[in-house]
Amino acid sequence: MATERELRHRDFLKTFAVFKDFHPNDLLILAHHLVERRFERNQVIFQEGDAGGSAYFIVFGKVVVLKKLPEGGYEHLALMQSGQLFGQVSLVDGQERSATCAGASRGLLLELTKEAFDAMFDQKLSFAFRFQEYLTKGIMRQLRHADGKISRLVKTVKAGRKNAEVADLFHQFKDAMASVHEMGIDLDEVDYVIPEGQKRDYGNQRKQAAQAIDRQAPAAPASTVQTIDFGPDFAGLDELGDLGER
Amino acid sequence: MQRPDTDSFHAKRGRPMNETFHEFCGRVRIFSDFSEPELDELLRITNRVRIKKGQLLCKEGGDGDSMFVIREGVVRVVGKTAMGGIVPLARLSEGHVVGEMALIDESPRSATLEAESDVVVYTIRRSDFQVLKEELNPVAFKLIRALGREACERLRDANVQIQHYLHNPAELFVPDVLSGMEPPKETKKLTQTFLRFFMKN
Repeated sequence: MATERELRHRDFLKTFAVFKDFHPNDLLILAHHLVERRFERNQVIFQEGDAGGSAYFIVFGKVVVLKKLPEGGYEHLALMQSGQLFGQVSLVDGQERSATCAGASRGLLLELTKEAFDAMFDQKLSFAFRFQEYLTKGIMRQLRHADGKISRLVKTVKAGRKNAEVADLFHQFKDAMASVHEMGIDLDEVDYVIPEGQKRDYGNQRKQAAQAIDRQAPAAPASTVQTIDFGPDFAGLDELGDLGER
Repeated sequence: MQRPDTDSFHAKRGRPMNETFHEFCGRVRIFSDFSEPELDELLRITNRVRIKKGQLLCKEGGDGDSMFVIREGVVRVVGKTAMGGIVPLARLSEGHVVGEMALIDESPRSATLEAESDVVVYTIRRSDFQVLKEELNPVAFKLIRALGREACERLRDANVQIQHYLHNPAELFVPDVLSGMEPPKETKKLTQTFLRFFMKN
């Protein structure tokens, strides 16, 4: 018999577009393994270089993905919100974290540990196979996106048009930025607009499911919380869609 | 798609004469933890294909239905430039796995693969993989897991490469583009914003 808690988790997972083809009973298997974790703004969820492990579903709140800069400080790579998953690369390959994730607001996560993930897989459940397939697909999509970026750079360089074409584009870009500046707009101060665009009408359903979890989830344990000051600058962030769909 | 030539495969040189499928797979990273019986299962859905020098294994934008493992020869990954030209992106040799997205994703091929020499490849078709998967065959589980790890490793490499370009923009620009722009910190910020913009468009 499923517990109330598992049912609440399941109802939330159901609002993910990627789980639309999964049987509700299959989602209960995953729901059973998820652990509720609260976070505060500026709280570190994991840090670049940490040993790999869990992936996290965001129930509500925002999470910022940060990369340490060689000259100090952090670069903001992405801002994620309710209905997204992060940390799945380390979940799949077990290697260390390649970026830092921290709360950009207060919020709540559902954590899937590597142990739970491996246990589901070792039982050769068809659900576990499909979930792994779905994660791999998302990672491959991200890879394709990253490779696209690199090949655009490499193609330009290799085609010997590095000097003329890139320099030309760069000057156009510089001029455009200067006009933006002349108009008195500071791009760093423009808040990133988070698109409401969930393809299906999951908005309200997800909100209700998230609220149900929030009402029952335990308060954060009074342990020492590691925080990070990543500044207020959110300009230039990539918006991520549901797992890897950018 | 581009692989640096650091594949663990290349560390182990000295291919034995008449190497069997099983021996070969033992040297390919994604199959290295497959047991003998698992490799027997894998062999059941594997085809061995000979491709003449200059022929294409697949075409950018075309339908992808197979994954390739290069057994012999060299395969060139080529891309199209905005001007319609062709540029080589990478060269893949024995032991490299390529086109594996086709096994789980029906999206079109992201690059063209051309045989630079006469080539022998092992191919695994998506439809055959699907059958193993529906049987809940342990080999399907093992393969999906190996593909996941491989994708992670490639993604990590790609992200390192992107970060490298973002932090060393001078490698992409001729010096005079950046000269006369002060202060350096502002310049760096501008070039990084530009590179992000450039990679997206």
